[in-house]
Amino acid sequence: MSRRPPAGADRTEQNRAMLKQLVKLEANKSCADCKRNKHPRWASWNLGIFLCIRCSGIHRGMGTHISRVKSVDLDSWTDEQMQNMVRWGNTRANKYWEHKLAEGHVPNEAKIENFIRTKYDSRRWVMDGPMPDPSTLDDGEGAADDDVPLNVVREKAIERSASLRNGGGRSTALSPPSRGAAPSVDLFGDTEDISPARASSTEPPAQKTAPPKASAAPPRQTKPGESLLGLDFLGAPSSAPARPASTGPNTTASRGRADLKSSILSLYAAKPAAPAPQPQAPPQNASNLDAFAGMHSKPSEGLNDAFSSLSFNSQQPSQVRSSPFSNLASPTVPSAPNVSRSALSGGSFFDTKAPAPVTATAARKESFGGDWGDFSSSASPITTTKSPPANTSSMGDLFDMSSPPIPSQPATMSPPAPVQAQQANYPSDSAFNLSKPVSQPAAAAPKPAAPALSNFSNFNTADAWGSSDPWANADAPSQPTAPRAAQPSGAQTVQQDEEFGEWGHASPIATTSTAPKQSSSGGFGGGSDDLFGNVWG
Amino acid sequence: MGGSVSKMMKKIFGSKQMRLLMLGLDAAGKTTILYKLKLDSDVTTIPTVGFNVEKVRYKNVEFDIWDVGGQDKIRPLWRHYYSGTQAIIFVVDSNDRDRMEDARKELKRVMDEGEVKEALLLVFANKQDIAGALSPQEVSEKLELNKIKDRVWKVEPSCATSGEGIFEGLAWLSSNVKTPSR
Repeated sequence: MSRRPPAGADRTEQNRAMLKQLVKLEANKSCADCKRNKHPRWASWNLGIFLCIRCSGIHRGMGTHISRVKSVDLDSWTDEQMQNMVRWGNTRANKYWEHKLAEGHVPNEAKIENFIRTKYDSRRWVMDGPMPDPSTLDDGEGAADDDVPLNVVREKAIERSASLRNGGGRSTALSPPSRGAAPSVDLFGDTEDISPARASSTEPPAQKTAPPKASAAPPRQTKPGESLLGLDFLGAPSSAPARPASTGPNTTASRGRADLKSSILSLYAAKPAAPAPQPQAPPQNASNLDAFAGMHSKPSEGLNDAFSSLSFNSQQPSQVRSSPFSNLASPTVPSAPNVSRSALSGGSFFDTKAPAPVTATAARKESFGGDWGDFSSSASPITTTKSPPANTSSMGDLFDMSSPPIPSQPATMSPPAPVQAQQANYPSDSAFNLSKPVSQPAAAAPKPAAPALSNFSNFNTADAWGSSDPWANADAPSQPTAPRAAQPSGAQTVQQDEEFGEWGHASPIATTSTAPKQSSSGGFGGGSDDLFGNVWG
Repeated sequence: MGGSVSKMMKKIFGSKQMRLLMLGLDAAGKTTILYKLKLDSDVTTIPTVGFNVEKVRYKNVEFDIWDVGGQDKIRPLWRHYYSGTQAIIFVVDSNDRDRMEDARKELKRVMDEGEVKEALLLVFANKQDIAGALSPQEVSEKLELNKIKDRVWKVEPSCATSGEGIFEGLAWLSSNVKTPSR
């Protein structure tokens, strides 16, 4: 948190990132007026449409009382302007402005100026009556497939904007010092959000409970919104505070570094994540698994040898894994996980369509909450990973050093965490309101899932520690034992397949558990990646 | 000596040169003004990303007019066009009340630049054809032009599409420009 830039700059950067996401939506990929030119980089913010440069010139000619043109790239955007873009967008705007035109009407290129003036100045084709709430425009007809991502983005944006309006709740979250009274509360909110999330991450049940989480969702939603908006860093920092809670008993000492680590971790996580989203999409799950299994086995060993440096490699494989797993898991897991995945995958942007069906029109917001919870959970695994190294290893210090990179090994690290999480997390959860109500009730149902989790944790352990066993049993014993005790079955499998490659094949079950979690991580990465893309792009 | 001779020649044969820099918020009408001056026609422009430059001859004065894009993030580039500028034409959309304050800030920023402290300031209160546009007096109030003491300035109501006021502005510039001391 301390790292964050001032709220103002942050905000414009957020808006910029969001804008770039909006432009990527299918409906906004071609000019709202001429319909021919692809990838419009201009917008009329009061009309809420994206335009090509030529049409934007015509809009400018009509005067600012009709259209206010801005550049996506060359202008800075205020929240108000942003919000209008989110509320409208090309599809909705044309539903209103071209209401009396045949759907899919493409104006004559030579008469485009005339067309635009007739459309907006003369308002010839406009919908009768007062200007409707844009959100009502697509409910009946156009809310079809491609609109889902749009809705996703919109909702997030609107949530965010709403919170902003409500006294900058978000902003406070972003930059605690900036706001007077609220900050402390917000901070807690952050930690709360995270901690429950973590619990969920550690415990698959939590994810299953995601839908029920709806009740708990609202507080979280704010967070997710931020993260969506491109604040990758936010997710990470937030995770940092959470870490203490999960690992709380273990390492208070590591806390000091927590921020730094988390930040670094978040960065790493984001980058490696990039590959993840892609693998997710394809149906090649099995092949992916194989490939990845091979992938991780080696990196993991390497990791074991040098815990720190290899983290990158390990991380990638792990996340990759997650993606394939997530695919596998998704079928098994009910709707909730899917939703989470979609949201998490940043998929909202990339893969949005797949999630779309799941997005469960019914409880979209709720799903969001759940998603986000998952999302945050994804962040949490990372945190857990960090702390565990310190705790587990006798070499703790060294590990601390290495730990920042280790984040990649969240899986490895996580094993200790899960154990604690299962036992200790609940209490912790109780401390944090959000997860607790959900998680505990969920506990009964999730339990089946929990074992899976345990497997997962074992799996993780297997990567780091299992490999370590062959290399140095002495170091690992404490940790591995703990996870095993908790989840013997998973551990055994791991031991059997000291070669991780097989592991991937062997543990479809584990995959289910892992899938949600990692999917979230992958998703998280993906989302962050997107964000990065925005910043850089 | 040679300089004075050439000056006399210039006075006799009347070819004065003037470099103008046209600035203002995006969509104020800079490019439309430029091409109205150059082509005497109302062209439909597109947002200027970068700049346009045209030579315009008017009343024995050859104007080099630089028209620079006004989008938020490329305004910092304006300063690269300052050097050698004898007059700044600041174009304002008189109908865009919401952004008058932005315009004022940008104008002040430009006026504070040392490189243009000798330059004349001509403000086009543009888009006067739109009903409800601010009057030139209102524009000059909003821009706080009366705070400018160390510079010759003028507000000219204009309508770039019809050409009203634009040539008047050029005429004012040409009669007020100081012959560069050489």
